[in-house]
Amino acid sequence: MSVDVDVTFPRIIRSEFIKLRTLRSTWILLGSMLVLFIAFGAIAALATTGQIDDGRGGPPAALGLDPVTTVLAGAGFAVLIMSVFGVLAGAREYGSGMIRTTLAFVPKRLPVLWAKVLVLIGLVIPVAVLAALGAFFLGMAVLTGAGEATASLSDPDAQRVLIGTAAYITGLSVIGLALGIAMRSMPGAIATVIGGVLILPALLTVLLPESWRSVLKYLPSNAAAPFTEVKVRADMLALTPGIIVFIAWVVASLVVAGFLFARRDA
Amino acid sequence: MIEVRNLTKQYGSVTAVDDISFTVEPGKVTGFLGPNGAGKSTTMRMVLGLDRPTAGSVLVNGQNYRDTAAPVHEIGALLEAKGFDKARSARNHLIALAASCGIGITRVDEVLAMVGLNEVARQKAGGFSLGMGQRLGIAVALIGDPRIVMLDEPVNGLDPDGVLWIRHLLRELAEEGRTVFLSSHLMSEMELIADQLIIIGRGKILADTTMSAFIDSWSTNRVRVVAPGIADLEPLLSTGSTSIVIESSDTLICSGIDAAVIGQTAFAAGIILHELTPLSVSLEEAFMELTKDSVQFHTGENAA
Repeated sequence: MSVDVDVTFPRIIRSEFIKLRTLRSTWILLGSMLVLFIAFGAIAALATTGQIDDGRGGPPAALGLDPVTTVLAGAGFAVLIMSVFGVLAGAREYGSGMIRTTLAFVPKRLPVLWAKVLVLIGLVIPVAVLAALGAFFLGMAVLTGAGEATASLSDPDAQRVLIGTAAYITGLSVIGLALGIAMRSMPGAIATVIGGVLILPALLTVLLPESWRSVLKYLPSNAAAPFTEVKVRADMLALTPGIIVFIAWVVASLVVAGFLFARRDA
Repeated sequence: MIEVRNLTKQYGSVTAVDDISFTVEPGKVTGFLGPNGAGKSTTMRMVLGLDRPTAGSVLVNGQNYRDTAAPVHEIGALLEAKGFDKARSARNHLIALAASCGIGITRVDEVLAMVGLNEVARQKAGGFSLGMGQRLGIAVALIGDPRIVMLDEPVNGLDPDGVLWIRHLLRELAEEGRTVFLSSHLMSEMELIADQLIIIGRGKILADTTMSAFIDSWSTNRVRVVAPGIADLEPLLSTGSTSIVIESSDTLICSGIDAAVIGQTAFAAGIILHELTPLSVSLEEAFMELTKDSVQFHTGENAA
């Protein structure tokens, strides 16, 4: 065999894509994200219009949100599922010992990490965009049918939040991957990404006094608020700083993961 | 060719590999023998760059493994029998790995047939027996047509057929001029398979020799002599190359001297012999003898 068997970056990407493609859990997670995101939007829209009631004949209380927020009610689930997907893409090989086989094939380590990140982004972005658009159109159709207020896709707020939500989902999946690589354990990394990145900041924001907001607004989920929420909140960062801070979190998680991955014994 | 130079690996305060140097040459089967925990796997992981040496270096065909352009063509390795994702089929496992160096499906199916897994190639690897897992690992090792084949405990879990098969395979690979390096903790296995022998114990090289030289050096005949007048006999025997170990007040173990010569000497001096027994050492015993101080996990009463 005198064929070219050099390791190249496109080949590593292909290898990492095949690895994810050949796991059923990949399609289960992507599929459930798509379905739940859209279904929750539709359910929220039905609830707003009173087509689903609270059991006492009236529409559930505490709704009356703007239409974009309503139809994107499933975004939280999507974020959760895709963070787990990211962790799986990063930590799963450590659970099986496959990582050592991988690194025997590709001993230069960082290209393996970058390939994993690119493949993850390549899978998550289209599904997240599709899910957000699906939730938007189905939800708006429900609202239109009931004669409720709707938003159109040409609305700048709708565009900002749709793109922002898809980006936020993708970014958190990348943070999940970075944590998975850094911690080398699925349970540990899942607990960290859900507890530390999604729940803790929200909890602290509610529990700590107002004066802490100036610090808390820099946490990942809060930094994402200006591009994932319709209403611009005064106690959060403005749009551009929010985008920069969120990207900084994603990059920082990758730098830490890359440093550990490159230096540590596999 | 694998060149290991002054390689050391410490995990905290534990020195797993202690300043070892050896060369594994092409065209031969080199056995890497040592008790469990002797440092075999650690050394192999450092060859592949999976573990970072605390000191020293390894060259793979003259290069640092990480710097090779086509790693799979340099070394094909089997390090752990379960180094695959349980949920993926054997074939997809190979396809994914092979893609990283541009190897296609034709070659994947070829090596699957070579290791006898073609019938189960589409089943989830998680359902494989240890022996099937080993075969899959060997398929992974062979896929890049490597110049070095490095296998950690390859016969573990293989059935007798599989053991025979792997012996033939390794012999063939060596005859094709490849470097074949395999580890085992069983001397009996090495005896049948290896040309060259590197014995490691507690992270240190205890022997680096050809298998035949090792056999020769340990098959020097020893003779047990039991005689009441042992004190008179001992000075008569201790000449030249003979070495004598006094076991008890009436027992000697002599080596480097024939039983016939001992009998003759005793007769000439009028010393009565109660026993004159040639002792032969099996290679397994020789290996145990060599590594007895370096076994990490003694069993039973000898527990360390």
